[in-house]
Amino acid sequence: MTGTTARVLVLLPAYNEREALPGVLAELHETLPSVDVLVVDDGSRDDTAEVARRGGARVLRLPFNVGVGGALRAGLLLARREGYDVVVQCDSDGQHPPAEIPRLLAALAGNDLVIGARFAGEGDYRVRGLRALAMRFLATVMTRVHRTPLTDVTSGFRAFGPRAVAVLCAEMPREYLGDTVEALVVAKEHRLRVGQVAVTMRVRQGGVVSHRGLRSALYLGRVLVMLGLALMRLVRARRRSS
Amino acid sequence: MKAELFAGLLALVAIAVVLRMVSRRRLVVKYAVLWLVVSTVMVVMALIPSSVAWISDLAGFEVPSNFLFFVGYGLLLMVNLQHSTELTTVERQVQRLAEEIAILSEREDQRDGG
Repeated sequence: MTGTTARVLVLLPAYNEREALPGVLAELHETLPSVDVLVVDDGSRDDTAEVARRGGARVLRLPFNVGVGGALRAGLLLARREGYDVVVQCDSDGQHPPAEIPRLLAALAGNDLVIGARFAGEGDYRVRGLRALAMRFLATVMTRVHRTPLTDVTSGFRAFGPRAVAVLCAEMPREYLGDTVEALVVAKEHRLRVGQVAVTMRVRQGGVVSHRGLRSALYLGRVLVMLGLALMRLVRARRRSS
Repeated sequence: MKAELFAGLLALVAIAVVLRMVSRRRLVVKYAVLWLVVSTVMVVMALIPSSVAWISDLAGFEVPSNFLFFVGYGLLLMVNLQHSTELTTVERQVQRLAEEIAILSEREDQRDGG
């Protein structure tokens, strides 16, 4: 399914990304001329949609902000309706090098969902403090859940095979963190095979990570609540199926 | 003593029901949080009944039960306010969706006619 004949859609959720988007689209077109690119404008206040269209991408313009999870649902639904085999999710801020996409696609041969992971040895991406602790904890739990090493579960650089597209266009959670971590639990509920590929990532071209002190404590709290509930759901799903 | 036991058990049942609803996606976390906080406080009060008298005395209430009624009333108002703000957001979004659909269908009409 994932050979050169597969129809691939690159999906870029974008919120106020007029600065970074032209560069990202140009690079995508240069490195992967044969793939289609879809930008989901998540209710941006700037002219992200026009910029994306000028850059040669198809654009879904959401009338108001629905969050990354909601934007992904829209993109995955379009992919499913139009018969794309594979969807690659990238950030629209230039963090994820298009040159790494073929490696994600190659890994779809044995998996339904492949994560491009920052901490798997490549590149020099670093986070510190409570947030780092939360991310490491999530990685440990998800490694247990999927019985395969997953070191960067909050990465927004992912490839979805046909089964993952079918499941997640309907089941992708819209809540905070739902598009990354909870989506992996949903994947497990539906017996999707999840794997990871180590990728080099760049410094984001715009925006700042805003997690300090109290905020990162709050982040950790939300992570724990979300994870607890998601795992409860998983246990229940397993009990039902056995 | 009996009343506290009853209230505590009720709160535990409430916690279980709310968690179950959230895990079945019948309830979103943001609505569940307030209920879970209330239930947890109720459990604590049932476990340490003297805490109620202490706090109500601290707040200047002569009868602890009046304090409980007051707090319960306040919490219900808070839930109500939360729902009102969410409803406001949802109404605004529905309005926006209606506008988007109207524009889309006008475009369709133009295409059909021209």
